[in-house]
Amino acid sequence: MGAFLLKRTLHIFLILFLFVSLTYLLFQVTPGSVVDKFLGNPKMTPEIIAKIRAQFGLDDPWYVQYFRYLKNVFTGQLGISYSQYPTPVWDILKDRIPRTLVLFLSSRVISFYLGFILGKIIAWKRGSLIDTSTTAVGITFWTMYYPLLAIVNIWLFGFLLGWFPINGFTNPLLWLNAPEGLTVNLIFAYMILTGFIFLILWMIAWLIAKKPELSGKTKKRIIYISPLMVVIIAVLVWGFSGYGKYAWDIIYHMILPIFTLALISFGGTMLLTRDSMMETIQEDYVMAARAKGLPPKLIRDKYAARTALLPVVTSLTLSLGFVLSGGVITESLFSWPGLGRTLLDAALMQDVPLAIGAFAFTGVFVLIAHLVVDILYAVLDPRISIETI
Amino acid sequence: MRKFFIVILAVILVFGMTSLAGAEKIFKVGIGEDPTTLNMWSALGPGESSMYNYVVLNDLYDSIYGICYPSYNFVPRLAQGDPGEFVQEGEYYTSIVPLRKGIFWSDGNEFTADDVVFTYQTMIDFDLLGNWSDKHPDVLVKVEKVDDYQVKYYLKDEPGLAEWNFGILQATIMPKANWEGVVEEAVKQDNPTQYLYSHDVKDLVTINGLDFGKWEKGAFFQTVAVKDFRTGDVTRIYENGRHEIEGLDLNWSAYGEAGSELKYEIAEGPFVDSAIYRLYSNQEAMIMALKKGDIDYLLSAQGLTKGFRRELEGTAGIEVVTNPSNGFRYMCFNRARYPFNIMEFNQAVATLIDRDYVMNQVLQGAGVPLATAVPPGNSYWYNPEVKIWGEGLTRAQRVDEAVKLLAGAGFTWEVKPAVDLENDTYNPGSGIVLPNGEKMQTFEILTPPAGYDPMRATWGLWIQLWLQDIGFPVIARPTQFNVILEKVNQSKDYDAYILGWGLGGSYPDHLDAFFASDGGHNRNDFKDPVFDTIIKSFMKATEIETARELAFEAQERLAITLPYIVLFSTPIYDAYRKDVIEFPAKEVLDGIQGFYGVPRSVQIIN
Repeated sequence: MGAFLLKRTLHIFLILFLFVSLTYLLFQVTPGSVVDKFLGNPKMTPEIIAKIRAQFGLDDPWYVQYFRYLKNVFTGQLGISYSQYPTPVWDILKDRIPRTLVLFLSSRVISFYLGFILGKIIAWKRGSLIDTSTTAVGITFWTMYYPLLAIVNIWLFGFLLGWFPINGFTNPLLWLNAPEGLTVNLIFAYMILTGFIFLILWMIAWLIAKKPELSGKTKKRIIYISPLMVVIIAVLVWGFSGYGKYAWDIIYHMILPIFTLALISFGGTMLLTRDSMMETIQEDYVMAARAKGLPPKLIRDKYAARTALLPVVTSLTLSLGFVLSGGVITESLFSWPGLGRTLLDAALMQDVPLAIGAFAFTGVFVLIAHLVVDILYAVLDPRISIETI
Repeated sequence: MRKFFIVILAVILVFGMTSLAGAEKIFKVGIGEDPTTLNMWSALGPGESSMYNYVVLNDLYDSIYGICYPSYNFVPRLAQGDPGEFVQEGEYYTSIVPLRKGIFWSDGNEFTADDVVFTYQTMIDFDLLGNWSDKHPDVLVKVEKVDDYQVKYYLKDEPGLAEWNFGILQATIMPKANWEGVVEEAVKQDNPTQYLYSHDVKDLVTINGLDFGKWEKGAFFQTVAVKDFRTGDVTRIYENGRHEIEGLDLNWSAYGEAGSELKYEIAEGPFVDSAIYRLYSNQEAMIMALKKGDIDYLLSAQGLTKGFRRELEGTAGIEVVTNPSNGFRYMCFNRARYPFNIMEFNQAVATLIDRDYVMNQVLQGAGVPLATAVPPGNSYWYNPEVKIWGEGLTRAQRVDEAVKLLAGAGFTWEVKPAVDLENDTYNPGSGIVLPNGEKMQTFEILTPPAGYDPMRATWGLWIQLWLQDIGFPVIARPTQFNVILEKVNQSKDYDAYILGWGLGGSYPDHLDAFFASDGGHNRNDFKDPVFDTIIKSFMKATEIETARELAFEAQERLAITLPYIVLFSTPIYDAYRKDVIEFPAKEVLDGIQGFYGVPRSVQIIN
């Protein structure tokens, strides 16, 4: 296991090096530079523009700039943004990470959960009206033009019905009176922490419930009631802390983008689960379970779905690696400025340090997600061992 | 379980729809991008690319002199009157500027000459770039305090209005007490400028009635009124152009004799308790927010498209104001290449281009046909008498006129265009031969692609068609914007291109930057000694009337030599809730958004 991790870590560094080098090369061959924005200002003489180029280090030879970027990436400093000079790249990224993480992590988990549940149900009832209609609805949304769906949802639920806010993640009128030092990013950070604590406690409950001496009813109580308790405690803590209404404001603003993202993407997971389940339910051990007269729900959930889960977990884990890259369209349409917009804006403005910093940051997470997938494969499927990967 | 979810949903809706608005007068503005800094040194520096930094910060600061809303004329802001005449003192030219008494920063300190001296000295010592650059040109040596309410400027040479009134004197003034320590610390650093720009501002000190409130990154920015610290200026603009300003320690007038009819009376408050700038990175959502009443005014850098404008015009309670933009789109030939340096060639091309047809027939009024480098909207400086090639002619008459111009310059054809003026028709020509006897080779007009700017791409196609009609082997080539910039500004590897300019101010010193032989933005190697003489006199002019005469003369010369064939401009649309807010003046060059929604003067009426 140790040797495997070491080998994969070295691979990650090598790929990251190639990734950063390629990104740098692409920016070098792209015409123009960040100082071109001044070419549209008649007051900026060529002499002034030359001074600005020098200030940004753009008049250094390409290899000097290249090694500067490599040093920035591998020392974790990430350099200084040109377009927001002289703000360090890391300061820009760390402002955007919490809001990207909260929105996209929530939407991914919800859409995968929804897709998995529906997938296993329709696979079990294959050929039925539920199967046909749910598949049709899933495919319709999955193939729908996403910006159109988002605009329609904003118009319908935000503008026409007025159920949800049209855009953004806060109601300024509420936040104007927020206590000194309380920021949106702080609330986002606390929300992430709450989610993390919930996950840890749920995993502990799950491990306790696995003890063989516990009865089936007790196991169920532990697995289902303990997270509910955690949620109630979390709500109480948020409520009494005085921060609850601010977190609630953010959650209220999250509903429409999450709903839209879930709507567009649950179909993919649903079809993946359905296909995987269709193969699994043909297996002999499922047939044997049926022959033993076990309840169909038990066979579906405990026998078939657990095996069918493998490709779904792989897909989820890989997609979680991309969570930090955000989504340019979602962030733009719902005015949720996160890492996706940062990447796009930096690339368009040729802010090389910011673009490379954001790419490298996302790249590291994607590579780590790949590593986690490899390990998960071995954990979830006993037929696969680390050595064979 | 289902009931549980229904209850949860109901709670969400009830809580979510609860209005939190109080009785405060809040001016709610939708903006398209998040500001990036609170540090004004940095916001005006070379790195800050977001115009929304100026939108939110501009009215928190002030300058000694500025431009008047809505006329764009040069007027005193923190100065107590006009700048003093220049006098020669040894090797320098000096001018004394009087400052207003009784104006306070938001921290309670009075604004004095120390703040002015500190700002200029910092600009000079740190050689600040970006938007600071033209506020401390090389000609400015230093600024000294005469007393608390007078400063003396030392210059190497007597400056013209462009450099003096519309440059040096319009620097944003920073509070010395607030920044002195930071500047002293910066000087000790390896990179003082970077230290100054990167200073994390916590205690923003502002001037003249508006203060910083709150900034939630990615969400909103708030400014608040400080009613004890305002000048209460009232600007009166008369039909004859006369301006009068009355306010704290100021009673000033210029630009005309008294007695004319009053056109505008603009009072400065602020008259709102606060302004909230809310981020909408999706313009459709911003428009829905305006219609819903979430915002009162829409400030979008991209401008409104025609479709959105029509949608808003049909909405009760919303007004859309149309104003000319202070800029233009143009076509330009590389004058370093033959035959593009032949004046008649450019005149013939200008004659063939039917601006009205493309703009109003093809593009259905999406822009405004324009033929001059000073837009008519800039009324004080625009010369309405300049020649416009081909104006009022039919297509056949244009071809006939162009053929005459080219033939006069020595161009010949294998098949000459045959024009029938009586029936207003013509047969296209082909095989054009240059005055030097060589056959004309195919040349390219670079245009931004339709995805980037459909209007300029369309113009390229029509110009190609009209030039081909007369026998020119030409191709309009849609090219990535950055590639055009590289070819035009660096490699100079182009025949012709279509680009545009946004001009910012009203003073037409851009004519020097674009067309003087040594102009900083002379992109096409245009050289005309006659024009150079006129424009250098203009740049040195110290009287506004003299400058105007010279600007008119320069425009007349440009209409003959045609370094740019100006094509069109785009109108600026401002959309706001007329049932909630009121702007004191709506006819503004570059729109109300050019003054960032005038938060000091806007009134909440409902």
